Amino acid sequence: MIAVYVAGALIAAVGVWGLARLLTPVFQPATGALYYTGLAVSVLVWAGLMLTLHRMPAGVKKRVVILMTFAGGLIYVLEFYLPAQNRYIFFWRHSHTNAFSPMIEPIGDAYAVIFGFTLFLGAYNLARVHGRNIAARRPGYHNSIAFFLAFIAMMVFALWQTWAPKQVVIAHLWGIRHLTAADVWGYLFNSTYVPLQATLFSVLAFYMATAAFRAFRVRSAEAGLMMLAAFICMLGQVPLGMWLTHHLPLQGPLSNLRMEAMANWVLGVISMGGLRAVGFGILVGGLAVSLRFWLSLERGAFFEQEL
Amino acid sequence: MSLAAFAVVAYAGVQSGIFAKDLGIWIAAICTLAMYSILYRENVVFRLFEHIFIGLATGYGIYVVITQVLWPKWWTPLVEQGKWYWVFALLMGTMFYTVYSKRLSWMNRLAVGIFMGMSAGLGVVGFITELVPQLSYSFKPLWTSTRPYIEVNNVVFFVTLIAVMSYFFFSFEQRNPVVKGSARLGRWLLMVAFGAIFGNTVMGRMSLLIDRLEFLLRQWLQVFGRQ
Amino acid sequence: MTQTTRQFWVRRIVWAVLIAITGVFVIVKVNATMYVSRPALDFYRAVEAVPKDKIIVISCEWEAGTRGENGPQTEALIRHCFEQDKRFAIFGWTYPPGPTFGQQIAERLAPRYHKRYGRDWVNWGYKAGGAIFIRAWAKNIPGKIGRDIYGTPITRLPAMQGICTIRDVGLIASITPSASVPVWIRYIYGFYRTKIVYACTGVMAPEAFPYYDAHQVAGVLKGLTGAAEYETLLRYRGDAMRRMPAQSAAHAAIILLIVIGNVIYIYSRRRPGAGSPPGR
Repeated sequence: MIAVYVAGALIAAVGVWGLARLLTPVFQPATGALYYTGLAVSVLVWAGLMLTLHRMPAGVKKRVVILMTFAGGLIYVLEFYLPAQNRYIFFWRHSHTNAFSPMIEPIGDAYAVIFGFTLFLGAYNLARVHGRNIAARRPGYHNSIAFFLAFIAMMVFALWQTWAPKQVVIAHLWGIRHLTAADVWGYLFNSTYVPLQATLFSVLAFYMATAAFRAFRVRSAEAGLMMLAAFICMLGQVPLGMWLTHHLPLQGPLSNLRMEAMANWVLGVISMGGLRAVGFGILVGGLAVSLRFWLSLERGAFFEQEL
Repeated sequence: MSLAAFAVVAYAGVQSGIFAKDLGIWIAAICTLAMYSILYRENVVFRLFEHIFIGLATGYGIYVVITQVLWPKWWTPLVEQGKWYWVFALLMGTMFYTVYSKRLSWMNRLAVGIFMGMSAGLGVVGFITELVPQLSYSFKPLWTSTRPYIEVNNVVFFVTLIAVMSYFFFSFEQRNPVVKGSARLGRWLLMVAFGAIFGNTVMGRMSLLIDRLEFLLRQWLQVFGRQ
Repeated sequence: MTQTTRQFWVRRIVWAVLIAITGVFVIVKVNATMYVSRPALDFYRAVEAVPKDKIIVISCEWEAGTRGENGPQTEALIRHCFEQDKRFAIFGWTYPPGPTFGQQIAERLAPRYHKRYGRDWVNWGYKAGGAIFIRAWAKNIPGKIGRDIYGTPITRLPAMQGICTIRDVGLIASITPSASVPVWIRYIYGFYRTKIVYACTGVMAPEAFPYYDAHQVAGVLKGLTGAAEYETLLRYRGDAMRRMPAQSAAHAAIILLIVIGNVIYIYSRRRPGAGSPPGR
């Protein structure tokens, strides 16, 4: 069974490499009729492929998804693990690369662009939710109107200031002679967006204070040790803590009792050791999860849904 | 009534030099105070500004993606450089939007599968490059040939590493007293690490609060002196 | 007074105490001294050691939410680059506004050091694609970046002369609140051994130390404290040093709240027939 999988993986690897070699002369820039022909053929081939797959039974579609998931990861794995300058199998002439190295750049480019298209999904979803709020006049729908106004304003003025920053938007406003597109974008970004986000994150400080007062209870020796370490780290990294022990010498055995030295020791020795141990577990767990995704062994609502 | 009172106070404050005159600072101050109103209780002003923030953030994200990713890396090669094959990126991108159609959602699965496979493959590669130096630097010298002969920090680090790792052995029952004792010690040392994390978390959160307080007290309320 | 009302007002009083204690030290000017830690010193030395023919990549992977920590770190680093006449490239690949913030800081500081955009620094803007983009970027930097934040092809900018691959990058400074430095470590340091320095928020600081110990990052700036240490090394009093007294006060307030909370808890446990302590 393992031999079947290994053979399948090798065939897939050679298939990907062969396909890339075959298609490289085809995927070249063109002009005029050739350009439009290429566009049309691409769309037709894509549509044909998707239509064919759409008509296949669910089992075939599932196998195609598994194969494409595997092929996607195989490129990176083989590019890393195959030795460079392997003349005897792939007859490659350049050093520090193997047969899969030239694929990394174009895949990276394509991934970045496709990822860019997917970012519109979030915006579309938000627009759908808030649009339904407004259409159904649900309680608080005025907030959804504010969302759309802010969204459109930011898009419009951000693009406007990119293409025509000095164009006057509002002339002779009270207190200001005129507002250009760049000015309005500045008010939207620097005076609205930035303070709103900065303040939203700073509210966490208050919840931290509440937690410190209400929840941090020293009920056991372990909790006491945790509190002591927290106090040392909090004091040792600010001037107040450094001032508390500033009378101790900067060198010699007593210097280890300075607050900043103790804080750096806790962070750099004990905490570092504990977090490295945790990190080993996370890395191995991450490898296991990566393998499960790559080999389509993962279970869950998304992976088991009918295709 | 409260809005009118606020406007009167604001006007008087600007005229007397207590508040800043800059429109941008006033907008920022109103936004800041509106968000801080949640500290008193849930209110309509906070909800309104929260939705404004979401709109602005979404709009800005879309703007950046259009001008810095799609325009230079997709539209320009496709339209101006004759690279017709970039249309595949658009076709592949639209596959993600089929998640909203039950009939066509398999295309979304295919696209997500390819992306996940690539990320997973990269994860398998990255595991080695991240882990190996961590492993090799965990083997530190425990003694030296010069005074004080024992590398105290390295011994403490080594004991911490082994103890914490033994604490996380959950796949078998820890009956051996050595393993049990090591796991117990690991728990204690982990508490020190959590204390360090808590201390640094406090540091991080307070820095963000100080940034906003400085803006309100020094840039907006100029009576305390400008920054 | 009902339990709920008491809890409501105890919370607000705690917050008011925090604002009052911290606010006093924001208003009052207090001179503070910072002792520089080893990770911050190594960060400084790593920047100093970059040769003039190489570029420093300042990866601004932060948003407005962490401007209180990452802003002073970015400013101190850009100052250092300007002072040492080291060219740098601002770049972002996790949060879209990151490169904009870096550009604003650089433009604000440039006149002081007589520096000009395009000649002394460049902004590559935001690039989508995450780890896969970073993996591909190292082999052909001009090809992958393409244009700068203003749409100019980067090959036309004097600051990019001679910069083709990762071998022409002397240092990568990752300024981020998120756990994105492992991507740099895995796909850049792991493959090409390019030096990386890490400027993180306070929350991420403990997690940076395993990488620092393994020499996967050459230096670490821990939040606002790290920025203050860096400013001390650069011999100027910037945002970070100015906020250190308020930071001290905030920490003291939190310690006070923990102690008071525990005292109330112990007292309420010892009192016979008492209910929960206030605010619980």
